[in-house]
Amino acid sequence: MPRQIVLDARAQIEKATGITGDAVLICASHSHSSGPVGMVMPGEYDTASDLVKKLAYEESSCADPGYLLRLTHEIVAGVVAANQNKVPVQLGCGFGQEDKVSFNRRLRMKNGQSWSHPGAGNPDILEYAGPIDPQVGVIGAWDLQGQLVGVVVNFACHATTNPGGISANWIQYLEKTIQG
Amino acid sequence: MRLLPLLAGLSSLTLHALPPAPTSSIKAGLAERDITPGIGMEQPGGYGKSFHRTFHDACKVRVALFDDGKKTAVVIGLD
Repeated sequence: MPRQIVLDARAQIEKATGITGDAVLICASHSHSSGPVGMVMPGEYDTASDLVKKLAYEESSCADPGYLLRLTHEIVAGVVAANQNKVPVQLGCGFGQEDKVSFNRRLRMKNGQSWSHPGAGNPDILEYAGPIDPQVGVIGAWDLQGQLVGVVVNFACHATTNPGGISANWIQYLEKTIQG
Repeated sequence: MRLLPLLAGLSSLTLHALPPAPTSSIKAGLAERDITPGIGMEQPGGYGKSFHRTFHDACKVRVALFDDGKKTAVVIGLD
């Protein structure tokens, strides 16, 4: 997430709802199949050399200024809606363990280096260069009639499982599984 | 109304008293907003330029808001 989007959204949320910016956590799933929020920002290389400008704007992945504005607007609209529809709830928190979904893409090789994605079955692989975080943090909210209002799920896994086409990536399958 | 004393008497003998209706000082609000990019927009995250050609599923802003009456905290997830 570009820093400026977070700052803009927090300022607009505070203006619209009174919720202070320091109480607003904005996190992105890092989906590789979603909208253009990165990586070269609009105007970022305007003062660079012509070669760098060409490489940045014509040959690299660029954020879309219109999409960034829409994103900011929808973040604020979402918080305003959530603030309006809030209901008394009972909260439950817990952790699960899932160690089969993700893997550490850094592997220690026979030549002493650590490589990203050296290829499945590469004979020079010695071991994973680091751990994964298998913890699945969950907050559930139920209204006072016992109906589930919503769930927050925290799990660390790079969203590079592009199904083909525009997609929320693996997060979409998590949502489908939880919602049934 | 005439039945009430009878029911009250019965419950003390044969039925468990109903639990008090639950209350909570914490409120939660959940909301979603659509941020699906358009066909033709750039697909981020690669080493070169790539453009979206097809649609698979919607991208969302997902908001969870918690208010304990004193302070409100918001957790926002973006696809």
